[in-house]
Amino acid sequence: MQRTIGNQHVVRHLGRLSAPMTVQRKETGLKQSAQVSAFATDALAYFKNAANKDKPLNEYATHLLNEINGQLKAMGSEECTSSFDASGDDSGTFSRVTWNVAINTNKFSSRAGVSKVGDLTVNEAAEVADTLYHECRHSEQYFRIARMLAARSAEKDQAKLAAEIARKMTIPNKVALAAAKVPLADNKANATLIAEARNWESITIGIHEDYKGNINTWDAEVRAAEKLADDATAANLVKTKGDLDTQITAWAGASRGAFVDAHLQTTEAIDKKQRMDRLVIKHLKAIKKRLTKVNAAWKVVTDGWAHDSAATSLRKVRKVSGPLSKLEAQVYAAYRDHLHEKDAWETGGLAGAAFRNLAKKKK
Amino acid sequence: MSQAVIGLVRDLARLLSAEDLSTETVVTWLGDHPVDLQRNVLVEEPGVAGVSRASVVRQVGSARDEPAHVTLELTSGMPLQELQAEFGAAKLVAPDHPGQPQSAVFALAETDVRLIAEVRNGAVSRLTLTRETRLA
Repeated sequence: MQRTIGNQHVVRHLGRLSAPMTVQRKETGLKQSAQVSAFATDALAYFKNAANKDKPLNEYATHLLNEINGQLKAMGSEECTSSFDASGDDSGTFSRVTWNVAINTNKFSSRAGVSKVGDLTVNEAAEVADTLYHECRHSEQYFRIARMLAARSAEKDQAKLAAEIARKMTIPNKVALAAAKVPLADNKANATLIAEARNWESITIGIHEDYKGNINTWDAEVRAAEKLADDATAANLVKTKGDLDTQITAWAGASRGAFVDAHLQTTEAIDKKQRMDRLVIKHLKAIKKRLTKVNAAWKVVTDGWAHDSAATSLRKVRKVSGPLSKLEAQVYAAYRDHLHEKDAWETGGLAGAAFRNLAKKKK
Repeated sequence: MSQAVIGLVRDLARLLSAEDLSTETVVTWLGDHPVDLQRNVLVEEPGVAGVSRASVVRQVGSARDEPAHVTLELTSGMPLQELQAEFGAAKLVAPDHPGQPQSAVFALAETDVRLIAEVRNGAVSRLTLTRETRLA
């Protein structure tokens, strides 16, 4: 995702949530310190090389992706295609459906006139490295899930097995076939790999897939509603009230409030809960509480609407912003705890930090 | 416009199903003013109806310069239902990040191509056709 905006958003929320960032002790794949260090060293060397200063930004990104793909290939994972497109919303985005990292170099800096490698600041160059490492970690995650499914299946024919995996995961046949050739057996030697992959599986393609989709689309709605409440004026009060009423009423629906209740019940009923299950329960309970407070604040508006003065109604509408802000922070915290996403943030973050540290040492 | 796009999808799917296909062939088929960005080639002025820009993405790890997929930006959004009416039911895939579109994935019959529609509020503004390894 667009990491500049993303990180600003994180900073905004960390103050409100003070959510601890936990890093697992035994790292795997791209997250291993040797991999991170090799990548950051190579990325910084390219960035610092005077011969590269006048090269366009896509060449910097291409170089980084070549390095990451080399690592993925060496570790038996699957390389990603990539594409540059100035119309993309984000600086980098991996899609499991196409197995492609879409890159928009216009998002590498918020400053005007940045078009060459030499125009980037150290921080911006580090952020690009962070983003691309993050996005490619997603490909590694999905490939490991595919390998786990390959081992779990009773299908012995490799092509049929690949078709089964491709169907279940909505990934390219080529990737599914590669995974079918290297199944990840559930044994003691693979325990760490499997434990991570099970959590990634449940949130991406498993029992929490709809939860992931609903959380990811709800956040923008709550932010928009919060803005409506913040921007309410005497002139737009009636329209704002109508728009907020439509939105808050819709949150009782099947993919929002009703989903929170139903999925909480489903997840609580899971016999042997994994880490992802416990996080889902924690966040759904917190969201439920904060949604209740939004509804209560909104009821104050609607109950008084017929007899309150315009000034009182306006004050009440604006007051809904507080509960909405808290709901948004909680929904965003739930997104940050999607374990595949949390892992990718950590993995990219390690690469970005290593880049910055090396850059400081070389000054 | 929708019928033109559907016709284009069918024609392009046939082209992409060909075996020894090169990136250059697809770029030429799509139109003029290619911009080669190494990993993909942008076609800034496509000569196909309903498309404002196209991108041909190269396969990775291949000795030949072959395309992995093609993305078409539509000049105007089309309803997802029109694609479903033409190509059958799609599998909907939720985005991994907030703010990203949902993907509707169609298997195109009698080709080795999948069609992926990016969907926002029920409208499709971008299509991707991926070349798939035959598994049968």
